[in-house]
Amino acid sequence: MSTAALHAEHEAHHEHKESFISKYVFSMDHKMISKQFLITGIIMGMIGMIMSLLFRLQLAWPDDQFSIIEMLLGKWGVDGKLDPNFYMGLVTIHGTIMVFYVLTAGLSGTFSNLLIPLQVGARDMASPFMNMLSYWFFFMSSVVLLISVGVETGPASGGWTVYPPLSALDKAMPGSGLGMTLWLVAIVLFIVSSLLGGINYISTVLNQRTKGMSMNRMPLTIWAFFFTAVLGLLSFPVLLGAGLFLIFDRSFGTSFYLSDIYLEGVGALENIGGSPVLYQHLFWFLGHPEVYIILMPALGITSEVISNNARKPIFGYTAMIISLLGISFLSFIVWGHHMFITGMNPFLGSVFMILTLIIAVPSAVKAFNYLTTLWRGNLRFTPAMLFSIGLVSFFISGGLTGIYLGNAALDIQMHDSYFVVAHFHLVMGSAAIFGMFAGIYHWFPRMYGRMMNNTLGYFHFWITFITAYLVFFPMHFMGLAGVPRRYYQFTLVEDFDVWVDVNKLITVSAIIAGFAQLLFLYNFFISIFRGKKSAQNPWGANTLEWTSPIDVRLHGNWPGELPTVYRGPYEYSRPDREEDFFPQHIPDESAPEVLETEKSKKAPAEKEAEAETSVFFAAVKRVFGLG
Amino acid sequence: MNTKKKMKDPEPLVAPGKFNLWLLMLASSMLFASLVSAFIVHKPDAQAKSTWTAFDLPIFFLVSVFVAVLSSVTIFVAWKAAKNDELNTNKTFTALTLALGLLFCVTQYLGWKQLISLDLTLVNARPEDISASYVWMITGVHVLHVLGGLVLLSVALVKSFKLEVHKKNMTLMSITHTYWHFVGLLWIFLYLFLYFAQ
Ligand code: HEM
Ligand SMILES: [Cu+2]
Repeated sequence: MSTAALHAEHEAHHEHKESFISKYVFSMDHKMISKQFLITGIIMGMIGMIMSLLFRLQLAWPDDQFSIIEMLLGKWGVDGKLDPNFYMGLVTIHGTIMVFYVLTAGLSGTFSNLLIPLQVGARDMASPFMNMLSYWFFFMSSVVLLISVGVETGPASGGWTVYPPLSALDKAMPGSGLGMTLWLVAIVLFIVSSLLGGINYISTVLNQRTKGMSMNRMPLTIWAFFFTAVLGLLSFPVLLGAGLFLIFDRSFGTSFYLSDIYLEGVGALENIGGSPVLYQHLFWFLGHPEVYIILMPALGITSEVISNNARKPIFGYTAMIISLLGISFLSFIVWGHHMFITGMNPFLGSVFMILTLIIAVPSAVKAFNYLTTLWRGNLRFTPAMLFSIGLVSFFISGGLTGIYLGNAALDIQMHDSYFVVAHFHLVMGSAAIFGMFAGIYHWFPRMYGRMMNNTLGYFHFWITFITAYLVFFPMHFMGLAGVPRRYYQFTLVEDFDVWVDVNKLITVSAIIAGFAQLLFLYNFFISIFRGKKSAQNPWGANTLEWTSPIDVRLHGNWPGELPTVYRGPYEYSRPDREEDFFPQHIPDESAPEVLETEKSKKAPAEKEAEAETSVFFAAVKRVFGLG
Repeated sequence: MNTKKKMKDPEPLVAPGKFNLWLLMLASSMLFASLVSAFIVHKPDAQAKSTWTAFDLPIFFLVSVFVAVLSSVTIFVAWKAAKNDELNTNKTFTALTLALGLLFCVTQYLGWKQLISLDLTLVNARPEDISASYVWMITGVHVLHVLGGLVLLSVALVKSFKLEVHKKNMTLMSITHTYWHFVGLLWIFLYLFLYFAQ
């Protein structure tokens, strides 16, 4: 449909106006909600990054004074020196923000919301109202977390995993008081938000696809968001359970996690008999799937961007789906690899070790398929493409060290050292952030109808890519030498004093990386208003989101009928076509659409299926394409 | 602007509200799975240190099981009646289910009182009684689910008195029906679990 015709449609629909509140604040349009998630995520990301710069300053120049620290932190930075307790608080909140607020809500919330309805051909989410609630719970959660940073006794400071007893006894350390309580409140709100969102994502993908969009024609982005949502649906309730026990231990005097503990020489507790390791089991049952909740959307985005910009079908579409499925399944049975040193039975340790190492197989399949998609493609190096290739690089270099850590015998040495920090910042942190940037550069035109500036994008990519390696790669060596994580000042320990120059290199690189993000921010916000107007399908993509008009805001996504899908999403450079892409919604003149006729024949049978009791089976059949 | 009302899109096979309910029930099953697993992991650990009291569950919890079964029957009748447009039966049995739901809460309350009389409270002075803390947590979280069901039932009841529940308007009734079976089954499972795992 031409843009002019769309404009005409647009005019025709102008009857009822929305108020500012229902349009921008309590919006139920998935496209607006996706922008809300994105902007909140970017703000949280900036805060998390600034926190890391503050504690990096401390690690590099522990004996110097920085007026900026006193200016920003007040009583926590007297004389420009960071307070040790606040150091721990910053590390904890940095981790929490990055893991949950930026890479879970910011990433899934933005792109699942934007792309699921648009790419499967639905008018909106299954329940736009729940979708709106999902954002506002996330917003409240963010506010509570940020407030917790400002309380008198400081924020939670026992690490993002908040192990008891540090998190369960409010006298354990200053941050275990009000800060920890608010942390728990924030996380409970966050879980509610995630569940509301995830339920919608799953139900929209399974139940609301447009005609012809069978499961095996879904873009890999949708597959990835779908598995991600399933992981969240199954694992976040377990974190809620863990949190409930913790809240009762903290506030009501139970002792699920507490056993004999002495504070300052006296028995601190009346209630004993609990087990702190129990918390670790419950936490990591969420915790490991969580790392894939972070990573998988980024992998899905990368599949789409790489295939589109290599102008080639993705290599091994089915293999990509099966490996996502394999990773999802395995992610529920490997949590013990975070607990090798808790004194678990060595046999159990070996079981967890073997299962963990098996994850290397589907991960390798994905890496291999990215590389083979790139191989001899007509590569277009857009910023989105560069960030996707960056993701592949981090996924490989960070994933390899996972094989080391997965071995119980090695992990007993390397646990809680900087080697672990290096591993997860590369494979989870950098890789997922790069996937998120790839998504933003690629779908910015779909969100705002304008293009981002390419030159700034290139600078952003190259500086970030180089500095990310400069920051995280040296940490491997520190970790192998035994430098532990979550320490305030290494110069106080003779053996670790030698690392001070490396620490300076890391901090300087991190600061440069921070400035590169300013380029991104500038580019992002300026382009919203001043960017070059985008064409309807600027990347020559096949997927449905580019068929919905990008220059008007349309709640319902398509002005006329929903598009019908005739083929898979990755038919690039088909030899029988003049153009090098073949959008999913264009009918194939030469070969009549088989599925459609079959569908219309099946129609009466489907009507019967509507009978209440068989609805479930009909749904199952439909999901697996048996109907 | 909203283009939704202007044209007929193909209806999804399952009403979105119902689909979302299934997923919600899945999520809440996982919550109970976590509570129950905590119990399973904790018990042998505590027994090894002989700090685990085994005790008989209050008889009222068993009464709750019967109430749950009975209310599952009544909600089924109510739902079936609505499907056949027998609106009066629907009203009666929805009201009956609501009453049984309230009775369920009462029997739970009596069960808790029995626990208290045995000095088995949520917060215990003796480490052995951690077993009771689990019973309190699990039953407590379950009752919260029941309260959610009571809200649904009340809404359904009001709607059926307004004649808004009938053959052509079944979504609310089906959701209530499914959810109420879910909390009932959940209680039967939890009771059996606590009974045999103690
Ligand atoms: C591909 C995506 C992956 C992500 C996002 C990820 C993320 C993480 C994170 C966040 C940690 C931090 C643990 C802590 O705070 O102590 C971690 C640790 C660990 N990872 Fe990964 N990981 C990934 C892949 C792998 C792979 C492929 C393996 C093994 C083959 C692996 C094995 C481990 C092990 C054993 C630990 C525990 C280390 C310790 O606590 O000492 N990971 N990972
Ligand atoms: Cu893990």
